[in-house]
Amino acid sequence: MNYEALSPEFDRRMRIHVERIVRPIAARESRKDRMREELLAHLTAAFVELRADTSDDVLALIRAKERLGASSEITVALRGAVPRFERVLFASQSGPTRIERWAKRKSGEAIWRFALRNVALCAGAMIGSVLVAVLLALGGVGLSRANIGIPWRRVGMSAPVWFGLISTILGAAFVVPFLSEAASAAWRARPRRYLVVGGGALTCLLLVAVIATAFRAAIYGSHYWAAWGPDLKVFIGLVAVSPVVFVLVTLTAASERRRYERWTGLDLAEG
Amino acid sequence: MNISGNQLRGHLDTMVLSALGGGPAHGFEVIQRLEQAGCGLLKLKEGTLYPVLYRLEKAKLVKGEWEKEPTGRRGPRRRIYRLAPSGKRDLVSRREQWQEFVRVIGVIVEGHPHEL
Repeated sequence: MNYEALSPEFDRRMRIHVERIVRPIAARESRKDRMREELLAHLTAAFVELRADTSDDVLALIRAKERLGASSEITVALRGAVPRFERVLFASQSGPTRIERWAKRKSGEAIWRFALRNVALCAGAMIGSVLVAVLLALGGVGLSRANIGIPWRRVGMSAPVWFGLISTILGAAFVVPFLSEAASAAWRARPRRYLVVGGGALTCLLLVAVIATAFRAAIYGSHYWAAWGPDLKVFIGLVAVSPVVFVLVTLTAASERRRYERWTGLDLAEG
Repeated sequence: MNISGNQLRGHLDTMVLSALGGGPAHGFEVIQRLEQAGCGLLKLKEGTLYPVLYRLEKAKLVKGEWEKEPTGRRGPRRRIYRLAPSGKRDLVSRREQWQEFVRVIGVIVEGHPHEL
């Protein structure tokens, strides 16, 4: 079969058709990737065969898709080949929820606008948490301070500490999209990649240190510097581990993204 | 007369095993073998072959592996399926069951139940 003259445009159209079939399936990405590869190989082979008969690329592609069958039917059939446990585990990935759609950067959206939306989402989540806490308290659920195990009498967090804590979280929500964007852009060039990952790890360390310090300050109040209690080890451990976790999560996410982006990055509205 | 996918339901696993009985093949080749054997009367929705292959692979009746190096061709990777030893045994058993099934149904449909 002659694959040589397969144009990138037809290759992309076939990928989009395959992705329409596979994307709605709730399964781990490696399993879906296998399905994609096999369906693409099949569709390409059918297309090449039909093109030799018809000499019309558009007609050959339409017929190749018809031969493969209706996308929705194949999706349903392929779903049946995924173990039930895996289907349940990856159910949320088969289609974005409204919140996920809202939290994801839209095609062509300016990065600063997305960062601001991210801040609004975090602020909303914090306000929502406070409201839930108030409702629970009003409902008399019975969450007593003593049950939680923190010396709540000393919690009297001052307004500046609260302000600092909330600003840090919202600031992080604003910075992270830029960091993620920079990491994606720099990923192909090694020195820049290391710079971005290193910078991100440092930012992560500082953020965790600020947040943890704010919590300790809130708990110990004016005794902060004198209080070298056992929680200090936890504090130091948390701050030390955070950049390591950041690097691991970033590298794993980037590697996954790079591996599957030629599929997951396809816009299914096209073609 | 064309034989559609609905009429084949329940027999597709055996047909795929039988097609693989002719030697290792990738999905597209399995379809080609089935169509050739069906003298052009089989009308399969080709995409439905893959769930069958995955099911058979999970049942360890067939083994699949990615083509090592696409020789003389450019194009997407293909997965080559071959019958596993248990698949070969299963195919023999399925063929026997099928012959019995055809005999019984044939006798009934043709209206000679006394021959059973």
